[in-house]
Amino acid sequence: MLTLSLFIIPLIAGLVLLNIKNKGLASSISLVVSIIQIAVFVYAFSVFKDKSALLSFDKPWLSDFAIRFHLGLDGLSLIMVGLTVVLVSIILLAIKNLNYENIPKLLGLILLTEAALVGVFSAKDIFLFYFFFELALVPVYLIANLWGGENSSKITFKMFIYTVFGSLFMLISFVLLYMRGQSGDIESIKVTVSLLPNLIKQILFWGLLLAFSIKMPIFPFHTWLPDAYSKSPTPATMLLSGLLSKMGVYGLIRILLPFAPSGIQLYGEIIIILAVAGLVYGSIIAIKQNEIKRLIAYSSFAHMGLMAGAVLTLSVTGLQGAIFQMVAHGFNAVGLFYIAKIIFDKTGSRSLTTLGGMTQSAPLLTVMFMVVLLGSVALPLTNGFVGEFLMLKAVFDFNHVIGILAGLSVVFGAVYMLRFFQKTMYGPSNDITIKITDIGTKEMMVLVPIVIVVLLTGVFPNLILDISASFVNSLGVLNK
Amino acid sequence: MYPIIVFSVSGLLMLYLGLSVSKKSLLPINLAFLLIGLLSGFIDWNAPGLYFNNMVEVSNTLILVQSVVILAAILVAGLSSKLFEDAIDHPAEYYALMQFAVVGALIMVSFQNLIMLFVGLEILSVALYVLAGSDKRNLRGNEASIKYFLMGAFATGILLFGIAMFYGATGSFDINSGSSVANNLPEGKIFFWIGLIFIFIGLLFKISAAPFHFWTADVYQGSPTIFTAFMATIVKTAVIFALYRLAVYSFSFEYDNWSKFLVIIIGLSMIIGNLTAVYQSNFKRILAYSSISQAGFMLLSLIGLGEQSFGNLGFYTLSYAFATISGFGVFLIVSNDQLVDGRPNENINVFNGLFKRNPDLAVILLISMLSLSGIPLTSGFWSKFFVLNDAATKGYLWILILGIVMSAVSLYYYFKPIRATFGSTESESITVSAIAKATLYVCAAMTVLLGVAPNLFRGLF
Amino acid sequence: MFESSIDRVPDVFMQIPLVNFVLLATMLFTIGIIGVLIRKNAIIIFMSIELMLNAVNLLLIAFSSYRSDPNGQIFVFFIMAVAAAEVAVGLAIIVMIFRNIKTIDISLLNRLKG
Repeated sequence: MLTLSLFIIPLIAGLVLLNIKNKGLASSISLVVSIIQIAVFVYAFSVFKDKSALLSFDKPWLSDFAIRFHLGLDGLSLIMVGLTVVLVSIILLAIKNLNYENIPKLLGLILLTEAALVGVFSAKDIFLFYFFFELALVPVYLIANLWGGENSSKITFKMFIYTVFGSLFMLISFVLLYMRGQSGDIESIKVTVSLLPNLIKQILFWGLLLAFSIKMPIFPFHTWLPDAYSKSPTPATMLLSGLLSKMGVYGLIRILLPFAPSGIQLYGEIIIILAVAGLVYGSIIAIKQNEIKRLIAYSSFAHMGLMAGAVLTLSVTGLQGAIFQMVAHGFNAVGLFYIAKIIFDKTGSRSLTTLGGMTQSAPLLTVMFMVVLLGSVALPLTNGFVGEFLMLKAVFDFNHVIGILAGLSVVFGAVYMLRFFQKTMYGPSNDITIKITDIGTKEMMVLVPIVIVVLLTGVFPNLILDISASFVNSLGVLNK
Repeated sequence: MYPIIVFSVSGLLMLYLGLSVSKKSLLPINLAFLLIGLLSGFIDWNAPGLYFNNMVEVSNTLILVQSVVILAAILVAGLSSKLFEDAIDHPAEYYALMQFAVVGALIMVSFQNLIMLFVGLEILSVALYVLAGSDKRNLRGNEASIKYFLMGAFATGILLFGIAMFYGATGSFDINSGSSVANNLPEGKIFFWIGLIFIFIGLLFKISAAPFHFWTADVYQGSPTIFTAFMATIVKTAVIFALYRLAVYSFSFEYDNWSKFLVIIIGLSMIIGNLTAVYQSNFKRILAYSSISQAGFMLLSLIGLGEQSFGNLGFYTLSYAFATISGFGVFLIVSNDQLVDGRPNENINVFNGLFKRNPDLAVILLISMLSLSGIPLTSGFWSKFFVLNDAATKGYLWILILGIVMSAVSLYYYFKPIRATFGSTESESITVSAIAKATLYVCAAMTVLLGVAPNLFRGLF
Repeated sequence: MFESSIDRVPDVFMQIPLVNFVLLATMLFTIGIIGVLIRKNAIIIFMSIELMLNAVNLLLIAFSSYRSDPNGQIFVFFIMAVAAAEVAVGLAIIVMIFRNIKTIDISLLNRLKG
């Protein structure tokens, strides 16, 4: 029931907000929903260990077919739902302070995205998973189109077609699985997959892999990403980079690992090489970027590559690292895109060449930016470090050469991030940057929680690793 | 059985009412007749049997299918509200013809005798030949009308030849006689196969499955939009159920042989329909080619031919009717608002900036297109899922994969109008008449509702 | 009453093999199809369609009398009645087109394009 309410509350609130015109009322509704959601999640978190029956919701959906409306939380789902609930609250808070037109509708669409994401991360039935996987994209598509600038319809169209095309291959795999097992339940399908004929196993592996690697994305399916991230309005970018890209990694762990283990054994290495190639490629491109949002976009792409690689090593460390990094990257990406938006609003520029010297006029922003940035470059005692360290160890254990290549990219990461920081905050200030005002309480309300999470999870990684450990150990397909 | 009687009488009444009643009150009267017909169908609920000297069958599932046909007619009539009052001199005649067409469609979904199949098909077709050419001074309408007429009559001829051969082989027009292929005639088997092939071809012409689809795009484009919507939904529904009845009752014992050919036709329909639609810029042509591929999907249930296939097909036609009618409805309103050379603008760019002009219409269009392309949480997803799953259980895995890949292709052209709605425009906002608005809302709401809970309708079968 | 009427079918008629009727009807039908496909004049196409229908009528009557089953002949009446209705509508459409473009050559009807 708790999981259901996590899904239903934002769904209803989102639909209500779409029909409200008053901005003040809309913001207070979204605030109340955020608080309720966090409260419900905290309660769910507290009963997770001993009364986990409370978290499950299971009703038949289609009687002729064994397809059920089954939501539930295990270790992985709990972490992902928590990430969704907290991040969406932060995004909602951030949006209210930005001067967009038609704020109530924007908030409503974000809440609908939250509902779909909670659905994705807690679905226990493959078809339910597929629905929410597709559904999550629709509100983001609308946000990107309606609040985006010129050309946005062309770019978001590319993104939409790309990802929907990918997930149709997932649908092929799911229908095949369903036909074999006559059940949509993830747990019971896990048991039957090893009995499938070889051809089906191959189709399954490639179909699922294609869907998830487009969503994340993994090299070479990333071509939609730079434009989509940099040309979409900030709310859409935050949702895409912070949460929607995580659906891909989540899919890898939840669906691909248990459903197509033989495929991973066979082709895992190639995919890891591709993923790490994307990591290196993304990092190098990011170094050369001049536009802030594009830079963050490529850094995001690089991080996703490492996560995919780590998951496919089929090791406990890799999986733990990837799960941890999903949370860390979610917060860091949202923080960075928000800071980019603040900088743009204050200076009217996103170009590194025209910025600089902001630290004098905006010291608070500098501090906040510094912390989020250090998290992103994986400095010890920040959240980025734990995940990256675990993932790199896993990749290195898997294959030393790939591991060293992946390690190099951390260096690149430090280069482009620090260059970003230096070119905006330090250096000589110009006419525009000298005049800007520092951030106020409104912005601090968004950035402080992010900074707290960055430091807290960096110092006490076990907060997350303990929960995910129970899930990772129960997975049973990992190399010992 | 009762709807057939009701509409035959009410169609005639309508013609007389056109002389005496004001134009404005004709639509409510028409809707009332259609509703009475819809409800009268349920008098026979739980009273299955054969009526009219074994000419027509009645059963609960057939009543449901008949309701789908009548519902589609009601929705199309709802869209006509402003249009008929403004533009047409004698709306009563069109309403009457639409009711007669519905009679034909109802006979086609429930016939028990091939004579009734022929009569039903002709009642439906002759009414539609007139409706297609109803815009008398529009040369495109003329062209569509004569093409539809010549191709329709040609297809009827082929169908009749098939029926005659079937009769030669079995000695009866009853659809259950298929299995009793005459023993005394050595040529019985040959006659039977010629009959089967010609009947199939004749009906595949009408449902516009490839390679018998070439007339579709021209006819859909040239006919007045409201009648295109009527054709796309009611004719398709009636013909596919006629085919299904024949496949189950008359031809099922030869399933292994003809299914191999049919599945190729399905594949062709999907490929030709979807790939050609990609290159179109006229919205009606896009929907025409999309309807070819939809016909392919509908025919999948003939490949399935299991216990659930009939329900799958019923769900498919209902979902298709909602999505198509709402798509055409939005288009009808928008294109009549923006004239080019005195005619409605039918190019896709007519949707430019719709989101700013009237967001409700844009959302309805979005839902309709999502449903036609089969995106989850619209009824279109389930309808495709049901039929594909059905066919795949018979071992045709490649058609499953082809179907899903073609859905992916279809996304491209279904999203063309949606992309246009986000564009910018200088035009003013659009006002929509109350009845048309209600119709569109119902269509969109039902599409989503059936997408979330398909069992609401699927469970009735 | 049908029983008695069948008894009066002349023996000569019954001596012609059924296949001959079928072949004749099929030939007529094929001529009709070819006419529809290659002719450009709407009236001629229309006549070809009528030829197809009458080929079917012939076929039905042949089957009907060889099987001593009246259903086929009844069907012929249906076809004739419906064909008459179709002719009414079809000729109206052709007249409508003739009024607008002063020709009934269907190859000149090419306004509808993708």
